[in-house]
Amino acid sequence: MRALVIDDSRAMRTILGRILVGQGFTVSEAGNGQEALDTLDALHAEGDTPVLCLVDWNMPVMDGLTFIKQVGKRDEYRNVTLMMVTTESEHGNIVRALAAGAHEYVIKPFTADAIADKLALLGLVSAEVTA
Amino acid sequence: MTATLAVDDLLAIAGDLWTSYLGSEPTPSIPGVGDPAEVTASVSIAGEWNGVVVISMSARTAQDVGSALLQMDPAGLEPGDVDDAVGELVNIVGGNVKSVLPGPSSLSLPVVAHGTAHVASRGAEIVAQAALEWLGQHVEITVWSSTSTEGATS
Repeated sequence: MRALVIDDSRAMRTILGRILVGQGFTVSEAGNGQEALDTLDALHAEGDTPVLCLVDWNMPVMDGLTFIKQVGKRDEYRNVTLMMVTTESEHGNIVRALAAGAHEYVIKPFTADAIADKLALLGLVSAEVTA
Repeated sequence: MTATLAVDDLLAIAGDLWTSYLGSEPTPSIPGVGDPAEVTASVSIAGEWNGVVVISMSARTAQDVGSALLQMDPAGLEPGDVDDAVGELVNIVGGNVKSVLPGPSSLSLPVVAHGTAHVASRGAEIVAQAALEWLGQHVEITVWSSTSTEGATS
């Protein structure tokens, strides 16, 4: 299973990537929403469409909310699970993200267990893996 | 808009952040007693409440933050890794500070400055200031409010 980690911080991409690899994912990275769309298209063309995108909100070039809206317009990505991972913790922003198409929402700082639990709830990993 | 932000709020946010990503919880310290700030990271909050969240530390501490966050030997850090790591710290602190202040408001991208930095805002005043001791090193977090926020630091 491939996952795409989208965050403008290399440190955060590294932290999330490490967690996902531990859960059995192969991980690709992008530094903003536009780069993520390009990466998504390239991986899709290779027949390796990610099943999961972890998406930061505040990024240069294209923010995470715009990325989620763009992905939602593309039928070929209807099975991609979108998880917002962000410092934006205001209730209104959580509602906006979910309304735009995000399937899950995680607020930074998070623990590895919190991400693993979300992945299990989404059915992307088994509960045994996260235990 | 007048806002209340307690030092304990900052310490709780920092405690969660340090424990989650830097491997150990910091202890409270006294502002102004540590090494001179050589690296300063900031994010601006704009909207219903306006201000700047600033984290400052020595260059050595910043390098240790980068090393801990990336789980890499300091010698293996690439150019930009330290700024990236310190920037992500202030991004997370800023986002969590924003959530306890009046909203709606938006958060800027982080800015990292080297050398002596100061908040460049008209009418800025400190809302809350906390100091941390982490691995024997000093880190300060300051939240400034302003009626006219012009960038973060310079």
